[in-house]
Amino acid sequence: MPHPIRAQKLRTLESTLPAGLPDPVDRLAAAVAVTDAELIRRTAGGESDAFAALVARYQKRAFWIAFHVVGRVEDARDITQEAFVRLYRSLDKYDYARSFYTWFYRIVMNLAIDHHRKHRHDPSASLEDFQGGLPDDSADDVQPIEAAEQHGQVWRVLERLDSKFRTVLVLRDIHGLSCREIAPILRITHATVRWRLHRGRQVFRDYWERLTMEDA
Amino acid sequence: MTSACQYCRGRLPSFVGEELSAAELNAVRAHLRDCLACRNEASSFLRARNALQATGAATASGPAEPFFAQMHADILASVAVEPAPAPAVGWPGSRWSVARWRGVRWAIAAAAVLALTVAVWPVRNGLLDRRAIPSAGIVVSPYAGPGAQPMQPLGFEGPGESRNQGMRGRAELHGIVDRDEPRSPVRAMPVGISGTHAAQAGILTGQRRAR
Ligand SMILES: [Zn+2]
Repeated sequence: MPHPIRAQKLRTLESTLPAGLPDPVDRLAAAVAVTDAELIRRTAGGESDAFAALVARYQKRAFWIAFHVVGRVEDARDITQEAFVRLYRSLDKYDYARSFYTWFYRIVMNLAIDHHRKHRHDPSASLEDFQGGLPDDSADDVQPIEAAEQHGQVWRVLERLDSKFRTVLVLRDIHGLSCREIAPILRITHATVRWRLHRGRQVFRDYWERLTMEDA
Repeated sequence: MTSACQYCRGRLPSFVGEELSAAELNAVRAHLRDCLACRNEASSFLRARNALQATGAATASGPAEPFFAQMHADILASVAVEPAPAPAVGWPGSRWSVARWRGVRWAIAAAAVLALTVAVWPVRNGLLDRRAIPSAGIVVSPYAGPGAQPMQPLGFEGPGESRNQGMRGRAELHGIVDRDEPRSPVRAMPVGISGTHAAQAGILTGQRRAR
């Protein structure tokens, strides 16, 4: 199974690190030779820079996964922070034979799914959260205003999806994880991932077509 | 709708996700070349998936760097007061943490109680009560009449699920399980949506809805 950092096609490791880190943390976080397991070992040994580097490596990815499930910046931020706190407290349970990101993403997803189930009918501020911050999305092949409208429609459809469909669509279609990577994160079988993707894409497509027909 | 159409439609969600096997992909592509109705269906799935991916890519550059720098500082501050947890007990790399050993102790205690119950119960209730054995001439056998049918799997109808999905859909999917590797070359927050399969099948061109 390829490591997500090395497999990342569109972003380099450096670009996923937050700016302004202290030099030792930045170096440690960007050092491909230092594995996640090594950072955990060093954290357990009391090396605080190691945990800072682990946070730097994964905080953006964790935030975006949480955001695409819960749909609000502040909630995604709280979930990410809580996930790292839980991670820190359970470092002694880490199985060094298994991949770190599967374990950590599972913590993030559990928190995000739990939050989404409790708050899915709250009014979403997802698009407004990014008004003014949306890039000129030239690759999108549509004008910025039209793109923003389309993003709004997508959020409305995502809001209507059951958590079990939303989570697999987020992990596979937005974050590009393979079905084999998604299965242990959600603690479901590979066949169930395939099935939820199949149904999730059907349900998403049906809602989305209906919504765009209404708006046309 | 022909059986070829049904075969194709059942695979369109995996087609747009680029998760079909080579054989299925060839069959779907060949059918899409000849069938306008299925081509329209495929482009509908593609429009939806492209919209989803475009939204994911657009939001990914939302908050600025100071937002993440602050988050990094907040996370470190929230764990700063706690010492790092002790390494797991047992051999290096094992999962036998203290919490887990505690769990095992409870499991052993529960198993002992269960074993005791199983040993005592028949003595108290069954074996000592000889009157419970039917007298000669009364034949007791489980019913298995000629009309008995083998059990059918139940269809799954969760919220938003339509009829004839569930088990049947799973069976359809059964043949394509294990075939999503190697992973799609287009991964992780795709910005420009290519839809390799679709592009090769010639169904991505000119499909944007006129507004
Ligand atoms: Zn057809």
